[in-house]
Amino acid sequence: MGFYAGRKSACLMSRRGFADLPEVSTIVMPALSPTMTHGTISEWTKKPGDVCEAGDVLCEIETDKAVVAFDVQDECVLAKILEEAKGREIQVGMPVALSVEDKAAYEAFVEADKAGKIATPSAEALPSPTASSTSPPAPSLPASPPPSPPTPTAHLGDFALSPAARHLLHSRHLTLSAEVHGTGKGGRLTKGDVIQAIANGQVTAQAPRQAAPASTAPPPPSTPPKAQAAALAAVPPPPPGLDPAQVRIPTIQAGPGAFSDTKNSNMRKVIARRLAESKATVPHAYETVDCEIDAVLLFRKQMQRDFEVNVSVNDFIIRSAALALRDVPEANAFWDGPKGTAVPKEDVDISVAVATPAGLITPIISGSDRRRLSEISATMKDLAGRARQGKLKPEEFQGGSFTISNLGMFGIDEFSAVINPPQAAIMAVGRGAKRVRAPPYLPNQHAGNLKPYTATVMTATLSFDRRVLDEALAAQFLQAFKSYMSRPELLLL
Amino acid sequence: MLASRTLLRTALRGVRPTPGVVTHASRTFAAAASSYDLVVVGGGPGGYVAAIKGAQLGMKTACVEVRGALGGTCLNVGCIPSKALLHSSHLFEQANHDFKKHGIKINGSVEVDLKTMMGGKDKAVRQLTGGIEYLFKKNGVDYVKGFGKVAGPHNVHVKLNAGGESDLETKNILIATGSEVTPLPTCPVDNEKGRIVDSTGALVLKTVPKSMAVIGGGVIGLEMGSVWRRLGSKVTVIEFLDRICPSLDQEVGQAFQKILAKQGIQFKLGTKVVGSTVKEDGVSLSLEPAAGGAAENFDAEVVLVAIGRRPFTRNIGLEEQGIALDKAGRVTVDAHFRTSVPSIHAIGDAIVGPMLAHKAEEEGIAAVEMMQGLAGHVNYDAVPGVIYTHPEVAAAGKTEEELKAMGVEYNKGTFPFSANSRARAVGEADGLVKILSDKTTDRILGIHIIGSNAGEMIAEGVLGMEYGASSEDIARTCHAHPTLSEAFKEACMATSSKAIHF
Repeated sequence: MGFYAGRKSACLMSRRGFADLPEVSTIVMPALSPTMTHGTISEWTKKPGDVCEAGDVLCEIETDKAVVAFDVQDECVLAKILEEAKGREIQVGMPVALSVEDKAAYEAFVEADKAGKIATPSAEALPSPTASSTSPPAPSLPASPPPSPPTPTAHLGDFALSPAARHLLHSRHLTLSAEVHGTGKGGRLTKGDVIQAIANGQVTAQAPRQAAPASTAPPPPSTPPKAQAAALAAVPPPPPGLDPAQVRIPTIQAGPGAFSDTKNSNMRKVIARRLAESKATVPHAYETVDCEIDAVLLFRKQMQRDFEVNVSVNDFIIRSAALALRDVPEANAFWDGPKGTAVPKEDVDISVAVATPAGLITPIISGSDRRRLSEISATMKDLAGRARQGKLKPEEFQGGSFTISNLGMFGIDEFSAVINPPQAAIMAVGRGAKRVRAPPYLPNQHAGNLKPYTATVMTATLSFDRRVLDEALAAQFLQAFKSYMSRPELLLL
Repeated sequence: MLASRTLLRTALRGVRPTPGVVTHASRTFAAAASSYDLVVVGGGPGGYVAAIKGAQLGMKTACVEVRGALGGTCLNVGCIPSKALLHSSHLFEQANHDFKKHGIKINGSVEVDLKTMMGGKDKAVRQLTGGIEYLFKKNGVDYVKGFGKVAGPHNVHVKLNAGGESDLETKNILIATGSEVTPLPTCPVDNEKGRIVDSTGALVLKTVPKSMAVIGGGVIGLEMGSVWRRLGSKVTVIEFLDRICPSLDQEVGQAFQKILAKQGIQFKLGTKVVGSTVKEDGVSLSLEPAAGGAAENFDAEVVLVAIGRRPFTRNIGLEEQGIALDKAGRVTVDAHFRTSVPSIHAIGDAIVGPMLAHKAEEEGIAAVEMMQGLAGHVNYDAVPGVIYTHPEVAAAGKTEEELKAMGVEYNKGTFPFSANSRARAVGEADGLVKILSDKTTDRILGIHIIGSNAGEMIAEGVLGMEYGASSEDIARTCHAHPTLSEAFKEACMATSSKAIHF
């Protein structure tokens, strides 16, 4: 730059007069080059009380480029040094010293200062032309504008956040910490400011997150900001169909703690243990039978229409199974481990699997072979309701001689279940689905006369303990079950 | 010494011409009758704006201009007359070529009445230059008609047009002498004769030349070339470099060249002019490949020399004051537009930076504000540049090449006008909007537009850049439908995420 070739003259001095005090001038950090924003005082060559002639060096200032002598333009007496040598970086335009006109004024100044009457000037009192981006154009890095004191943005209200900044914060339910200030015009918060704040952890979550695991305490204050920020800023997986690129924040890594731990309830622990034991120790065997349940469906409809009695297909299944167990009592047994034998049970207590929010539970309908259909229905409704609320008494779900699990309402065609020890068997029932069937073979019937028909077919799979039941017995049971389901009038007997 | 200084300081202590203004203790002379606070040398866009602003800030101001009309190159032989001719010739082109596709039939032929067209242009210029004289009167700026020269740190010597001389004493001098056409030694300009002309001559041709060779593929050459092509000339642009408008973003420059070629402008790139001969009915140019090689002959009825402009800073008294000029002739100034003599300032085409009228205006205002102790400011990163061909080209900020050279990582988003509803509806679907933003913060770093209203559209982008906007900010701002501005919005969407309509 042509003019500033080494020595610099003090550029800005403002004058303030006090009523009975000497007139004090403020000497500010000068802009020694067009790009200078801050400087440090490396050495004061004058001390308070020294007379400074025009052209005397007041102090040496270190800039980003060089150490430059800062000299006095007007004659004055240095009154007070505000910024020590080799101290902090001072922004251009900020006060560095006070001066007075002459020696006499200096004596008065010292008096007044002792009495505490001299106020240190603040930056706002001085007009300071900004030097940063007014230099004639040179290629400049498009980094954020040079740092300036935070501008209060309260007056901007809603406009303090740029649209993109607002979207970023609100989508993640975050608020910025108080110390974050914007680098946009007038202190506005730009998208870049928000990205930076998130990376620095200068954000707090607005809504309580379900992520906090029950076993860990809230993050202690010593948690490094980045990990905490990562935990807060980890975006929940975008809804299906949303391009993840739409919600990208380039520098955020998802750190530990960005998933949720659901503790296993006691119930689930018990289920887990027992079923694992069952599958491991009980020799499971499986048999499947298809039942045509059109008769049941019709019967059920008639009960509904003519007598306003509501029973479900499941109630029919329970009753059919109960009668089948009465007919094939070997299936109503359990394996006595210590004894090493199958022990038949007197009562037909059927456990019916009910899905609850806490897990699968099997309330028992005791003496189901002795109960009427409507009784079974009412008992089932009551037990299932209380099961879902977790209000079953232990004896209501512990025990049982046989289990039925029905996934018809979930649209499952067929499945096989795991035996609940010490029971001997569990029957898994699928949905009733319309299927095309070939008629049963009858002797003396021409193959040509056989016509396929459609029927509502329900598949039942029996998982049985091979130690207690053999295939023949299981088959007998299933045949009995099937016959009851096919001809519901038999349930009356 | 001390006593008198103290007295002077005491005298000046209560003086505050305007609120918030710091009085620098200027202690060299007492107030004189014809002394000014500010004398502006040059009445172009930089100068007259600075003069008006100075007066508005309470300075006693004078403006010295030799042309006989205010407004400088811009108003008299630059921006204004060229835009007038560009518009008139555009209407002629539309009538001739575009009307029929809009179902408008012309019974007979559409002709050019050059005299009337020039008359309209002249009228616009006259009205505007007169308008500035009125503004001077309104704001109390003294208009001194003559050639001004710096005679001292506080003295401007004027050779008056009307005869005689005048000395103006002043606290501050602002050099706003602008620029002149750069001559091409192998092709000397003679506007009077009208064969080899510069931009000034190209604005006042008496007839439409059958052929025109434009030497220089920059903004001025392309604009004037467009005017005469539309009016009927066969235009060939001869350019030394391998591309037109080298400061343009390359992708945009190439698209622009294709459009101009489609319109019928011929290009001879990588070619230099090594000689010229003026004949009775035209000019014969001797051309050579820029890298050297065999010469070829090229004839044209009129040759327009438009290789650039250079600062007008010599013989105006600067050297005598010890004010340094760089090798391009530009005045060296500091952040406050001060030369090595603190009372002499310079702005506009006379100093470094893009030679644009609006840049000079911004600098003029900033310089004057800083003289008064206010915070003048020019944001050079957000100065738009516009080429007024059709379609127009407008740019602000950095090009892709500049960002690559600076090692800055960026996102890029483009949107073609062929996908914009309004552009299609009116049949003006050439061009695109291209946005460059910082990869991490998404702050907009560069905007490049080719489109029928690019010059107006760029204003939105510049405003955004002033506020440090990210491309997503503009993408989330509602734009009316159907407008061409939607293309700007969609380009911003393409930059930070995805466009919808492309």
